[in-house]
Amino acid sequence: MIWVGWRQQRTETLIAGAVLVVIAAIVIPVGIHMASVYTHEGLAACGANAQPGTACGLAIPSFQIRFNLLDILFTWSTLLPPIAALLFAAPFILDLDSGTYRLLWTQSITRRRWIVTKLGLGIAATVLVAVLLSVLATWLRAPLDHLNGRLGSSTYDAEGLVPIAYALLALGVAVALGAVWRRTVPALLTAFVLYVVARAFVDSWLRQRLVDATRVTWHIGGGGGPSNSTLNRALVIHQYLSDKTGRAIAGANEICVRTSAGALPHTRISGPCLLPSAHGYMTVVFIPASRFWELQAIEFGIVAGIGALLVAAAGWWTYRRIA
Amino acid sequence: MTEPALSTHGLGRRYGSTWALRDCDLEIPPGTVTALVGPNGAGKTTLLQLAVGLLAPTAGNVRVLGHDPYRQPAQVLPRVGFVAQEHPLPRRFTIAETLRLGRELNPTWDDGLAARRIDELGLSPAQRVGTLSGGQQAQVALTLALAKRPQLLLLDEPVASLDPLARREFLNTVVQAVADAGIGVVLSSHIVADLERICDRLIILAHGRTLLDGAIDDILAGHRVLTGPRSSAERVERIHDVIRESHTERQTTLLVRANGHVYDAFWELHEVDLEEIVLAYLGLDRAGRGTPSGRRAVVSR
Repeated sequence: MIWVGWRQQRTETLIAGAVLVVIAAIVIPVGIHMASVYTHEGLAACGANAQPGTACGLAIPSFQIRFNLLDILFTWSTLLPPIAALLFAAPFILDLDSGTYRLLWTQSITRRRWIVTKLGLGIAATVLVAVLLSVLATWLRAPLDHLNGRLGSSTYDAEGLVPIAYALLALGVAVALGAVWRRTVPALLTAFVLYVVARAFVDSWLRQRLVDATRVTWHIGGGGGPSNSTLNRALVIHQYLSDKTGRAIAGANEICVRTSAGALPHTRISGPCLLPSAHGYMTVVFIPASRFWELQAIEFGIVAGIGALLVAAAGWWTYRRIA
Repeated sequence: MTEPALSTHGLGRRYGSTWALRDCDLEIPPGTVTALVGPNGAGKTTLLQLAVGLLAPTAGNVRVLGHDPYRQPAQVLPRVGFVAQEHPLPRRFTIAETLRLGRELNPTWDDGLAARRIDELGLSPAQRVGTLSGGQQAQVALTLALAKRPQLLLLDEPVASLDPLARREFLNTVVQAVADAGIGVVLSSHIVADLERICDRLIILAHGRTLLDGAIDDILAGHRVLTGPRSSAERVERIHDVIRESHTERQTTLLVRANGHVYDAFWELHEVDLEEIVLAYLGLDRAGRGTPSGRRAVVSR
């Protein structure tokens, strides 16, 4: 059955392999170039503690602007593992869709064996592609990660364990829908939409609640509080003007506060701006960069767990319900 | 071994609230060629899918070569060749790959037989299944089933989508295989033509129930058409089962299942062919009368 399963998945595997090769061919030279610029300009020695006005303080922003496009590309690249997963879900659904399962289940092997082999091969291929993409991203982004940390969404979603989890989730959604629906194209399209919804939910709501965030309040005039580089590399959930106990002051415009505090990059100013009083306090709620792996492990456990449950549900449904 | 090839007891299968097959009691002896005839939706496909373990029964049980196909697939599947309706094959496979599929998935696979049959069909192993005609695909699917060296061949509407020539060739292959290997065949069809030539048993199914089950020779010998002056069928009915009666202004025609000889000078006796018998039974069912004993369809012209 393994040969049959592999043969039925061959086209998908070749497509995924070709796409990976093309991506690697584009991205590896860029990565080598970026790494050489990074070393050449001595950014490794700068660390992230570049004070404005120093050589590092000039070189780091210029480096970041130069490779900004890469960052944008990486936001999109987080779609690749789930797309690969949908591709590898297709052979399972196609057998149910085209009726060839009636042929395969009436050879001498059992239906259980067919289900296990097909889903197993789908999982294996999906995980392999996700791991390769994650490794490639981690290698490529190493200089940027060194400067910016790994908790920014384009980094966090592309590196470590999380891309594998999301690929498994997409696979699970697709095969579960496919098992029930038995129509390949609608099942895959719907799975993609559901995946994007689930992903948006995690990004905007769930992730910041997975671990207890650090909360720091400090007197604006008196300094203290986390350093710029700490916040730069952290996942900042909230930052606001507050009283001494950390309670927000009503009406204080968060964006302005950030600007005036000078803490965060990529700020946009809109609306009226309430300048912080010299006696004000500032509170920031954030997940520090050091908790990258902890956050990744928890998110992986939840998302990959749901994906695995969905794959199992697809197998169970196929075993019990389909004729 | 006189174990029946296929036997069912009170077998039923329900989809939602609709019974696709109900109270089905059958016993098909080994080594016979049985035709399963009925209109679309009669329960033929359901019966065959139950027999090959694709479906689990809702009621009763089915035994194939002595085993429960759904619960004991390992005892049944290697000994049964099955060609599903529309003879599905992976379209992206070449013929050679299709045969390899058979070899990988069947311990009793006969590679020589498969290769020889493909050769006889004039097909090349490099051809892709998706490019073959419907008749050729059916033949490849049949090859896959036969090269398992099964004891029982189950064919679900194998010729429904084929043109008359392909239909004839397909059935010839079946006849040849049966003669060579002595295997039993159950094939479903809503086309009655050709069945008489290759089958020795006939089962008529309609609306999930069995209307007739017997050897074709007995069925042919047991049914007669009686024609005579217009009259009531009452007298005949006392002895024989009237399957269909039709009246014109002057004449009455009865199709009867005779219980013993028909001695009645009033009626002129004719033999009747299988197709007409099948149609009469299906007409009987359409009239909503259920099982044939003592009931009949009335056709007035």
